[in-house]
Amino acid sequence: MTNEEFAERLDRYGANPGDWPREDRAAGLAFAKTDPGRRQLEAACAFDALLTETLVVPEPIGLKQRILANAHSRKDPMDLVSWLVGPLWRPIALAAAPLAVGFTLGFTYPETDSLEEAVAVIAFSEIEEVNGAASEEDL
Amino acid sequence: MRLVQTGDQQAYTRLLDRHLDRVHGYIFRMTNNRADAEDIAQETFLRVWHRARTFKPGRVRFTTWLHRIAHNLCVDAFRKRRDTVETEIDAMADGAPAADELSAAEERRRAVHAGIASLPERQRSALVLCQLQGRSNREAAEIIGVSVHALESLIARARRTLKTRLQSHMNLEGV
Repeated sequence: MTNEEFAERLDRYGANPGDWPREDRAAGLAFAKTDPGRRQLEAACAFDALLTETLVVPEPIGLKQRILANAHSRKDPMDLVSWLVGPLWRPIALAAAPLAVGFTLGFTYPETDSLEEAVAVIAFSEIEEVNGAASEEDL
Repeated sequence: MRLVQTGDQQAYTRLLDRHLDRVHGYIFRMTNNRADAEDIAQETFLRVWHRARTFKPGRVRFTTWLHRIAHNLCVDAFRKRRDTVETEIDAMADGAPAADELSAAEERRRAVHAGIASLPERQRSALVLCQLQGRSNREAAEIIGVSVHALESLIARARRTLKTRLQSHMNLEGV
């Protein structure tokens, strides 16, 4: 193992030999016994310790109670997603709903001879009714 | 977790007892901000409660799923606040006391925090998860959403960058 390979190992896996890959851990440990290996390992240990000792996390006072209070009072805006991933009938029902509406509309409206007429019936029927009512009021 | 999925509040309390400190620690080390860390930790556990049914036990470990939620919320927060954070860092640099006014330990602490905060978010996350949170490389890779090999490269780059930046603050000869 070369200096560079050992340095790369320490950068990838840190100074703890237990975290090194098993297949060539022995080679790494052997290199760590040489002078350059020992220096690199000591420096890597110091670096790991520096990170661990310096980055102390403050205690989150009262956080657990706030989470519990919110969990029991707040509704999740994404609740629909949770609902959908439940039993299989739920997504099927949601997908079938527009179909049902389509069939209902199709069977409710009067039969027409052409597509244009059918579109006109669906699109303008309410407006005609409104116009008709307005015209009667005008009279 | 199965009990939490049924809406068991006592099980949820136990889950908080078991995981809150660790997840909060990860988020704090990612954000380096007490208020942000508490907000994101709270949102993480509220999502666990409200979306417990989306967790599939056979597919992923619970701790991986939990940390992935926290990680994604951190990334969202970074993206929303990128401009603000840069401004805050500049302001901190301008308003910071002179180095000789600080104790050596405090100066070192600030240097490490600033060094970690300056890492790209995936490098920071990889370093924090493996080095400081004790997650395995495989689990950390799943949390961040990269291959194990890519995760190891992220850690190596993060460590090299940090060592270079911290060289002037401490004695790391030969690293």
